[in-house]
This record gives sequence, C-alpha cells and structure tokens, in this order.
Amino acid sequence: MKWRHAFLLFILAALFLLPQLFWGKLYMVGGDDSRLYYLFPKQYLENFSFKVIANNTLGGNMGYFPVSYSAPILAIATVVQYIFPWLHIQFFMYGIILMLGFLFMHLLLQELIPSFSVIGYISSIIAALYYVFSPFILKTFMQHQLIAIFMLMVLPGCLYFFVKGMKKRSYKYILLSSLFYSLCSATLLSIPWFLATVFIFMPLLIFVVFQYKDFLWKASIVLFISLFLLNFYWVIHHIIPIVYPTGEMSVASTNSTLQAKMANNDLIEALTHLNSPVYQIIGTVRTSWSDREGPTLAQSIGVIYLFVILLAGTRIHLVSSSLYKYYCVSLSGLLFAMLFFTPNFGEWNLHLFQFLNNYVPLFGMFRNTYDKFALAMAFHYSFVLYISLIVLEKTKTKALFKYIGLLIVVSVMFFTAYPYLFPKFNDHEYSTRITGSLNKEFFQLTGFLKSNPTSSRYVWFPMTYPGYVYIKEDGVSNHYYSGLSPLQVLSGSSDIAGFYGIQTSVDPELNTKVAKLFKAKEFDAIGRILQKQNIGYVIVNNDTLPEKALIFLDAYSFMSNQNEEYKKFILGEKLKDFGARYSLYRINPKYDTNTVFLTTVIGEYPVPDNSIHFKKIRSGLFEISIPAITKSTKLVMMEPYNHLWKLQLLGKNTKINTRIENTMVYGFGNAWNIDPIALKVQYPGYVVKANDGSYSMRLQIQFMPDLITKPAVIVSIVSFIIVLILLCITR
Amino acid sequence: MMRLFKEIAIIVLLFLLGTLLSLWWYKEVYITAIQEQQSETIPASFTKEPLVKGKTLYFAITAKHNNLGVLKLRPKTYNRINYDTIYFRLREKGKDTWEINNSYVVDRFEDKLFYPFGFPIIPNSKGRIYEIEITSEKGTPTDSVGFYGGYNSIATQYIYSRETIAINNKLLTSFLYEKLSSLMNDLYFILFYVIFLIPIILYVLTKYIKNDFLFYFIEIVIFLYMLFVYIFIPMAMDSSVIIYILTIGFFIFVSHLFHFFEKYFSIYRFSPSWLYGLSAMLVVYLLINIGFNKVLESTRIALAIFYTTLLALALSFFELVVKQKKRT
Repeated sequence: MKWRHAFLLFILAALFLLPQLFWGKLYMVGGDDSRLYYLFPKQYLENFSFKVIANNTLGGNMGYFPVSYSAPILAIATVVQYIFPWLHIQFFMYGIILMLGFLFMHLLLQELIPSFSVIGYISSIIAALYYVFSPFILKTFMQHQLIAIFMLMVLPGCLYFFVKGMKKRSYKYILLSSLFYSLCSATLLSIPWFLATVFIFMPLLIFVVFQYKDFLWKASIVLFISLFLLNFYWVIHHIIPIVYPTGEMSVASTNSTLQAKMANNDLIEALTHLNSPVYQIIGTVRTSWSDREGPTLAQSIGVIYLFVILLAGTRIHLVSSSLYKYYCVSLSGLLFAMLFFTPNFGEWNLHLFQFLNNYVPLFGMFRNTYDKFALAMAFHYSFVLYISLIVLEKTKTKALFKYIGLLIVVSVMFFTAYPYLFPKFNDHEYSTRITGSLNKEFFQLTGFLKSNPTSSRYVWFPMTYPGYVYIKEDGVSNHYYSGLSPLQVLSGSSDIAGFYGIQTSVDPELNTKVAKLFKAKEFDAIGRILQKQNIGYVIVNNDTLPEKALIFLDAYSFMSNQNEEYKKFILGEKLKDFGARYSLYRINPKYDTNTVFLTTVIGEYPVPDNSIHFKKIRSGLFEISIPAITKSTKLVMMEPYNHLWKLQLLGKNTKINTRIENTMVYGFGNAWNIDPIALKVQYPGYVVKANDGSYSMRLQIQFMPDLITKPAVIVSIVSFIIVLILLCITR
Repeated sequence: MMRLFKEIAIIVLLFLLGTLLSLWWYKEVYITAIQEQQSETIPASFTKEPLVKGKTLYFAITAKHNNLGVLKLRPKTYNRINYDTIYFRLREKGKDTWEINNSYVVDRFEDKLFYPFGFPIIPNSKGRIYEIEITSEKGTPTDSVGFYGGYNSIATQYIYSRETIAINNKLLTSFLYEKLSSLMNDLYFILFYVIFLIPIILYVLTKYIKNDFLFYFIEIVIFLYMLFVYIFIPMAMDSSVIIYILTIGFFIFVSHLFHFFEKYFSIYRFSPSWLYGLSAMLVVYLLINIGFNKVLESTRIALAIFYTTLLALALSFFELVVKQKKRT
C-alpha cells in the first residue's frame, strides 16, 4: 500500500506545483471579475466586500446588493499573503484547486465504488486526473479563471463529504460538506455553475434518495441549516428585499424581461452553430468564434473516453447489479449533461432549452450553455469513465490489454491537456498578464483619491465599451491590466468606467442611450446623465492602447466617439497631474452637483441649493446640517435609490426616525420632503426655530440594511466556530 | 376473407402512418410550397475551390411554376466557420437590372444542406429564365464558402398562400398534383420515404418469406439502408427520424435477428450490450468521417451515437428491473 500513498503524494505535489513552475511569474488578471483579489485581497475586504450599497460596484452602478460572498476566499488569500508575502497567490490558489479537485474526485470515486486492485486504483487516479484536465475544464474554467474556478475542488469535495456522511450516517461529514462549500465556493458568484451541475446531477440525486432515504432528510436538514447560518452574512441581504420590497429592479427581474429572454434565445441558438454534436461525442469543446476550424482528427482522439465507456457497455451484463446501477446512473448523467452542454441533439433539444429559458425563472443564467455545464460534463465523463474502467477490469480481459488500454487513455489525456498545462506566452505582444505592480502613477492617483474628502463619484476619460479600465505596467512593455476598475478596492472611491457601468438597476438601457448620444455628439445630455449619477470628477487616462486591445475596448467605437471635443466639453478645473499618465479634473461646473442638496423643484435635472452642510460618514451613512429653511423643500441625496434609506433627526445625543418616505429622483437618487413647520410640531426637540422665523436641524440618512451587516457577520463567525467545535467533538 | 381484409387494413394503416410521418419529418419544404430539383438552363460555374473575392458563381434556371420565392444551393463550409459575406443577385434573362440583390453573412451556413436564398415571390415566373449570380465580398481561400455542384445541387421553391389554395378548388387540385409529382421526382425524398414504408415491408416479409437466411439478410440490409439514408442523404429532416430508425432497428434485432443468432450460433441474449456495441462501431465510423472532412455525415453519426446510447441506456434500466424482479 505504501507505493499507492507515495504515488498519490507525487501527483498531488505535481498538481500543486504545476502553475507555480510552468505558468510563468506574472498574474493573469483583468476581465469581468478583475481577479485582482489575488493581488489585493486585504484591500478588497477593507474597501469593498462588506459594502451593500453605492460602494459595492467596480466601475459602475448597482443598487442594494451584498458582495461579501467571496469574503472567506479573500480572508484565506489575505492570510496566505501575510505569511508568505513573496508567494504568487494566484498560482498558489490554482495549485490548491487542481490538487484538491483531483484528490476529492479520487476519494469520491473510491468512496462510491471502492476498488482495491491495482488497476482499480490506477483507474480512479486516471479518472480523477481526467476531471481536472478534461478539455471541458481547461477550455472554460482555466481560461476565464473567474472566481467560480474554486468550484472545481468544491464540487467533488462537498460530494465526497456528503456521500461519506450518508454512508457512515455521520453528521460530521455533512457539516464538513457545508463548511467546505461555504468557505471555498464564493457561493453566490458560483451559483450559475453550481446550479447547472446540480441540475445535471438529478439522476445521481434520485439514486442517492432511493439508497439512503431514511437518513437523507435528516442530513439535508443539517446541511441546509448549517449552510444558512454559515452564509448568513450575505444571505440576510437577500432576505431583506423580500420582506421589505425595496422598489429596485432585482437581478432576477432584470433578466426576466422579454428582451433579455429573446437575447438569451438568440445566444443559445447561435451556440448550437459553434458546437455541433460531434464535439460532445469526441469530448472537446469550441469556446470561441475565432476558433474557426471544425473538429479535426487530432482533436477527435478524445473520443477514446466514450469508446471505453461504450465498450464497458457491451460487457456490463457480466458485472454485479450494484456496479451496473452505477454505470446506468453515471451514463444517464453524462447523456443529460450532453443535452444541456449545447442543445444541439435535434430541434426538440434546442426548443426545450429555450422553453426553460422562457418559463423557468433565472434559467437564463445558463445561456452560455457550454460554460455553465462544463463542470457537469467533466464530472460525469470522469465518473462514468472510472466505472467503465472498473467494468472492463472485472470482466475477462487479459491484464496486458487492460494496462495497454489505461496507457492509451492516459496518453490521450496528456496529449489533449498539454498545451494548457504547459502554455507558451508571447510576452512581447499585447498581454494582460502583469507583475502586479501596475504603475506608480496609478497608486499616486488612488492615494490622492483616498484622501480626497468628497462623496462625489469619478468618471473615466475615455470610458471603454466593456466598462474596463486599462492600466499599463511599469517596466514591461505592452502589458496592461484591462478589467473592472480597481478604484473602489484601492481608494474606496466609486467610479464609472464604461458602457456597462453606466446602466442602472432602474434604467438598464441607459448605457445604450449614452452610446447613441456620443454618436450624435449630444455632450450636454451626457453631462446631465453624469450629473444625475453624482459624478463630480473626471480622471483622464493619457496612456495609449495597442491596436489589439482596442478591438474589444473600443467596440462599436464607444471609445473613439469620446473625442477631444467631448473632452474639452466635460472637463472642469484641473486638480492634479499624476505623472504624464493620469490627470484629475473636476467635472464641467455646469454638471457639478453635491451628493446631498436642497431643491425647491424636482425637474428634469438637479437645480441645487448648496447651502447645507453634509458629510459622508461611511458607505450608507450621511450626516446633514440644515442651517436655515423657512418653507417646505426637498432634500436630495444622489446615491442609488432604495426605500430602505431612512431619514433620522439628530438631537444632542439622541436620534429619531422620521416617517418621511423617500421618492426616486432623476432616475437615480433619493428625495425627502422636508416641511420644517410640520417637523417642529412632530419633533420639537430636534428642530430649532430661529428669531428670523427660519428653522434649523441636523439630520442623518442611513441605509438601514447596513445596520445588519456586522451582526450578520458575527452570526456567521459564531456558526463557523460552533461547526468547528462540533467537528472536533463529533465522532 | 376476413383475414385478408384485416391484413389489407393493417397495410393501409401502416402506409398512411408512414406517409404522414415522412411528410411531418421532412423539413425541406413548407406544406404550401412546391420544391423542384432544378437543372440549369445555363450551366453553373461550380468549382471545388471556395468562392473568393473576384470570383462569381453564375447560372440560369427556368422556373417550373408560378410564385418563385426561394432558390436553394448547397454550401460547402470546408469544415470551418467562415465570416465572409456573399451577394446573391437574380434577374429575368434579358433584363439589364438585377431584380433581387441580397447579402448574406455565411457564418451559419450548414455544410451540404440546402441554404434557402429567399426573395419576394415572383407571381408569373412559370417558364421564364432567371439568371443568378453569387459573388463574395471579401472571401479568401481560408475564409469563404463554396457550393456543391452535381446532382440535386440546385432547387427552387414556389410558394402559395394557404388562403388562396383553400378557396380555389381547381388551384388546390393542381397544387396537390404538382406537389406530389415534385416529391416523387426527388430521389432523396423517395429514399427517405421508403424508410417509413419499412414496417409494411417487414410485415409482408414475415408473411411470405419462409427462408430464415434470406429473411435475416434482408433485415440487415434494411437496417443498414436506414442508417445509410440518415447519414448520407443531405436533406433537412427532423431529429426524431434517428429515434424512429433505432426503434425499427431495435424491433428487427430483438424480435428476429437475435433469435437467428440464437438458433444458428447459440449466442443470443436479450441485452442492451448489442446497442452499446453498435454505438462503439459508430464511434469508429465517426472518426473515419472526421478524417475525410465529412461535416454533415459526422454530425449525423454523432447524433446516431447519442441516440443509440440513449436507447441502450433505457434498455439497461429495463434489464436491471427484470433482474431485480427475477431475484425477488
């Protein structure tokens, strides 16, 4: 048995070291989730993760929405960075993911169908390696490297603990499953991948229900309660809008519009042209429209897996009923996964997918089919491959043939995975791989913004189409960070970086309007839109971009349309230069409005009376002092509208909630009607009447759900400690 | 007499069912349209090479009916996604200006299957000669489509409105006659249609052929014929066709061929293993077709593999239940 442990340890070490040794020294960052959390995890926790409104978006707008679900991963990265400051955190994490993904898959397979023979053991190793090295994973998860990449280890890990818990009837493993999922999955961010996989797991789940029905419901209760408590810190912020409807468009409702469904249907149909059914059969995937060549013979060697599976099918009647059942269940899962991986097995398949998109709430999240169902495909291919190898092992086949068969499968696996495991980078061309140092001017800029006493927001010039910022690296030519704006993370400042950052939850089409306005050179209208989004400053990025980068960032000429004319128009007073790279300006004074102001009339755009004093204490909390008003007036606050913003009157050491409801103004902000006379009558101790007949008062505007953030975190931490104690004391 | 009547009734019923299924799953033409295979009045300049910028595909056809509304050609994708744009132009012979001038992005063209170039219906098209010209906007040898020539490479469709046919009995009769004759003139449709007459053939065979070897040989030929038509006939058909073929094939194997093997070779066992085996063989055949860049055939084989495996799996579950019952 010793050689098995040594062999396993060798593979684990190899997988762990693979990214560190062969993927270079640079960080792979940028894109839709920035991946900067590997570089600045502590700053993420400090300036971003626990904000629930206004400061909870990178380079754009979002209403009330918690973004703390990745906090456990960030906390782990922070600790690792603190202990090993020299370590490449991203590749360290990827090494862990590959290693644990393999290990848990191997353990899960052994747990489900124990095989003590040498060939059985090797088969399990091969199948688990296939799981992490399959083209379905390498061409999706390992390419976009979104935070959902953690699902690669979380899925088999959770399943392993859960299955072990069921078999041993032990709550300890059920709790472990829950804990592992809560800590390492980035929960909500990985939900589309997780749900897609669970959906495909239906055959296996039904099988498990029948096999362990007496213990299953008890285990499920423990699992769901522990999951709820461990994730309470973000779950609570999704419960609040259900209990107190907030008047905002939810993610679900935004994605359920007829337009969104139609766009999804178009995309789903288009993807059936990208991947013909041949791809599922030969065990690979085409993920890009620029990958123009159809399946070739070299790509088709992946068909060996299905061939082995079918070969096992011809001998399946010779094995035990138990193994036969597992074969059927796993093969059902694989065929089921194939149907959803790309719905190209006939018109009915496409129509079924589109039907589910149209009528099942949130099913639209699976619209880029192959990406969301990649994990399920890899898992089931691996699962059924293992069972097939065991079937072939148990039937009368000469040992020599068995070993040759295994060798062929391993060779094919490494042949197809090789370009991804040992990638070649052309660092002389435009690259988004960076050292992490960005450039010193950018850090000067963020340092300045951090100390800038303002609650106004920043807009970039030029804004890019995907809503990314581009930051050139010092010392390395052609290397850029190109992804979501890290301004909020590094300076705590909210900004708008591009087309997709302009839209609001109230008006998802606002970005399209702005793009049209740019084209028509209607700069005044753009200025008004920026004014309504509380923009007070413009950051001018003077860096130029290579042609290759512009293809994406300047799509639909969104960047080019922001010409010198617009620049002259939108800029106000220059505040500071940061080297030759960045310049900070106030916005054109015509569009410069305070975050909080009084106004007598709510018109098309703000006409502020800036006589009041206010201070943003923190995200979700403002203090305001109104020195003198004589008549009913509107108090406006230009933070995303939500009816859970509450207006409170401040006394010397007390505060009291007013019953004044806020309304939405300018399609973005909040307004309260302040009637000083009525307030004086209702709250005499809080409103002061001066000799000249004017009234003064101190107010506080607070986003009420923010109050629950800290207690919710405490609930989750306490739950975490309780789970740890239970794990220690439970046998 | 009663027995004969019953047999005739069964045959008629199978015939009607087969005809209905064949028309339902035949996706080339709408119910109110007539499709004609078209020979060229002026030969088409088809080439094996892609239609690159500067090259022109030119030909002329004589319309066979009124209401010409679609011209179909078989694109050649060279097993790749192409991003070229092609220009389709059509005019009546003798006219100076092109009456139809459309552009098409070719990225979703399917290899070998007819691509319909649609245009406003030409009411009095019968007997007139139309010139067609197809050019490429920016095609290069590695990024453009071509078009298959040879038999059944050009088709035209004549479209009638449902309302017009419904109110005019004479028109309806002539439409039905033309439609039927156009279908019967299409060899691909006939080959396809025969698949749906196979239940009748099998029914008759069981009655009249007593020679085991001949009977089983014909059954194997029938099954191979069905697979052949499904894989090789470049015709738009419903995906249910493969399920139908496998069902008929399964019926043949389970009810007849396996008994043959049992009788003469003692190796029959009711088991889905046979279907898994068939799937595995199709996998090998898929590789051969991919090797030869046969795009449509590869896709059809992939579908056949999927549905064969699905059927095998369904039988596996059935076999498991039977085993379970035997044990209890």
